[in-house]
Amino acid sequence: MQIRIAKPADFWSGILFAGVGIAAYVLAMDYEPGTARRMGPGFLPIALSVILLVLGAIIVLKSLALMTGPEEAPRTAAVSDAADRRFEIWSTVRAATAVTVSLVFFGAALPSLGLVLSITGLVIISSFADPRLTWVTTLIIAAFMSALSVAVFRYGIGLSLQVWP
Amino acid sequence: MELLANLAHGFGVALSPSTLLYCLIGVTFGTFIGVLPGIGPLATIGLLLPITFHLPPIEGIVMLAGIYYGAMYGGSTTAILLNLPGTAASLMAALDGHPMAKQGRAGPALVMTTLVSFFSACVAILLIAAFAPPLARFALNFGSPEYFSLMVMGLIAASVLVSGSIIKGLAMMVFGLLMGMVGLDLTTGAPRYTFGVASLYEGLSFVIVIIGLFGLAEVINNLALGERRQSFTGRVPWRDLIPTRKDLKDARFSTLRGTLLGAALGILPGAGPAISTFAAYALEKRVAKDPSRFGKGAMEGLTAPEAANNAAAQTSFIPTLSLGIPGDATMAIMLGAMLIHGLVPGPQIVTENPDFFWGLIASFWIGNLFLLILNLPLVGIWVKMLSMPYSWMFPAILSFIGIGMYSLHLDSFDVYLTVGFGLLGFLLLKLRCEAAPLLLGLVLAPLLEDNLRRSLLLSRGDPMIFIERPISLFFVMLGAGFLLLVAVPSVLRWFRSRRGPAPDGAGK
Repeated sequence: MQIRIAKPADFWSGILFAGVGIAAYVLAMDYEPGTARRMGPGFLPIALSVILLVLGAIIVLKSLALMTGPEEAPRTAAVSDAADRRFEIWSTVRAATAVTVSLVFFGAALPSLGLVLSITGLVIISSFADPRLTWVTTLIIAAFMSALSVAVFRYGIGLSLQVWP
Repeated sequence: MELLANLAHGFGVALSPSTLLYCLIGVTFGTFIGVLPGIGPLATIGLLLPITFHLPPIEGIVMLAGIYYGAMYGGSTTAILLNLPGTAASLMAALDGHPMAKQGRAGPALVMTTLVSFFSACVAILLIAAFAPPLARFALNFGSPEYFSLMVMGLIAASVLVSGSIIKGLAMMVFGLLMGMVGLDLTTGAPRYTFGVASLYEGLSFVIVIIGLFGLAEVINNLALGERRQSFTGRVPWRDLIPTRKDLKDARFSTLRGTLLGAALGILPGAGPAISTFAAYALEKRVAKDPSRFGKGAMEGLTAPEAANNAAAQTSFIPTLSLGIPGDATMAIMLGAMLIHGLVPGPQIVTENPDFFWGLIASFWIGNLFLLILNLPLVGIWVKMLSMPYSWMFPAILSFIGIGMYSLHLDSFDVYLTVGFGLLGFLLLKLRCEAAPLLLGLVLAPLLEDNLRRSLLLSRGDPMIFIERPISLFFVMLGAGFLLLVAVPSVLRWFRSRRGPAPDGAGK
């Protein structure tokens, strides 16, 4: 008899929930739990993290299947070959990285470099997420978005944002 | 005739030029953003929310309500034309709407959607005006135990009714409640889960969580899918826009049934529009003479869920406004926005702030009228917009997210936090965990804790208080009922699948 992960998505979400539950519990041990009559700041966090841990554990257990015979059910509905799979992972990593870096740059740059340069940087960095974007298009979008944001947010709504460095 | 007098008062408030203007802007923006593929109503509202912060309270909320309708309507447009439903609610619209579009009948499908939405919203608005004030009066008797039980019931309902795994829905809800613990404890002032970061002392901003989990996660997902994302290439000629006489005849009763069903289900906290569309579709299929037409472009299959969706969207304002308890994630955002503007929804709002309450209801109607006026001529433009490549849109979306999040407190940390939630949201999307229960948990957590604390103080620590009080007992039983209703069949199925080698019993 063998245990195998029948539903990977469920398995990993269960692990995630259980992990968050444990982390939240460990952190909540520093907070005063109090009594039921006079709840302290730790009362609900402790209760909730235990519940989350239990739910996560159940999800993990449910995602496992006890197999006696040979594997029968396919892992997921989509049958994708290795090249497809590699492309998917690559484009996912690329998208997540480009989006993350572009916004982090924007957040860091905005207070000192101002709206125009920050938006231009954000658009240029994020363009790496999509190989179909050419340099010319990217620069046009950057110029358009800079002008639009200055018009709408600085002058339209009147946010106190710096426009230039 | 108190009702009519109140409504008249509301129209007096809502018909001021500035309110009308913001309502119009809201509806336009809402449709404009909502129609973009991959951005559902939740993300749309989240993206446009920061704009309303700088307005006076009534104008801000009215604009937000306009955005909400626009977004819902825009969402169905995308669902019908591209078969890309942004929410569970517009999933049903795509089921029969998209086949119609493929048959070259996108025009009638979109026009009928607009007409049906307007009709059902009108009916539902009358219901709100009639039922919200009595409900608010009734809710004045509620004490902490009643509120606590009601919230627990709503949370359970919202988590078990999500599509997919129930237990994952529950876990997401608890995750959300835990996220709601971040910040200073209300009574003792002790910091919790703040990691010494000053920005977190006020708690996690729900706008940041929404934009991250819904908006940003969707952007990453769309980019990750890359070339495989489909875009609309068909054309909708002008003369084919008008529905035929047969279309109208087919839609008559289905619209009525959908409206009534939606209005009734929308009032339940936690049920919300999504469920009502499933129910309406199922009902139509059951009463139809020829159920096999469904899924192939049946007019009833499009209009009934669409009517239910809009009616439920309207009536879900009833619990939000009169109890202060949001019915679903979208209402949770509306509630949060009201709180930001210093308007505290709850039993008192009807009497203490009649300008706001009746003005909002009147503006619902005006918003729907704008939607009708705006969308009938603009159907062609929405269709055009959908053929715009996503490559041009996502840098703009990211820019708006960046500026919007920074402008919340003029703090870069908020932008970083949004990115964090965006990555978490993408992970949850990949793990097929629905984020809506999490959001509801996050919004309700402070209220839930406060009412639990008061209840237990009242009963000297005895949890029996929740079942000793009749109204509270009713909510507890309703919540338990929801849990049993959905848990029992799946537990049985699970046991059956463990015994014996039944390969199909393991679910999807």
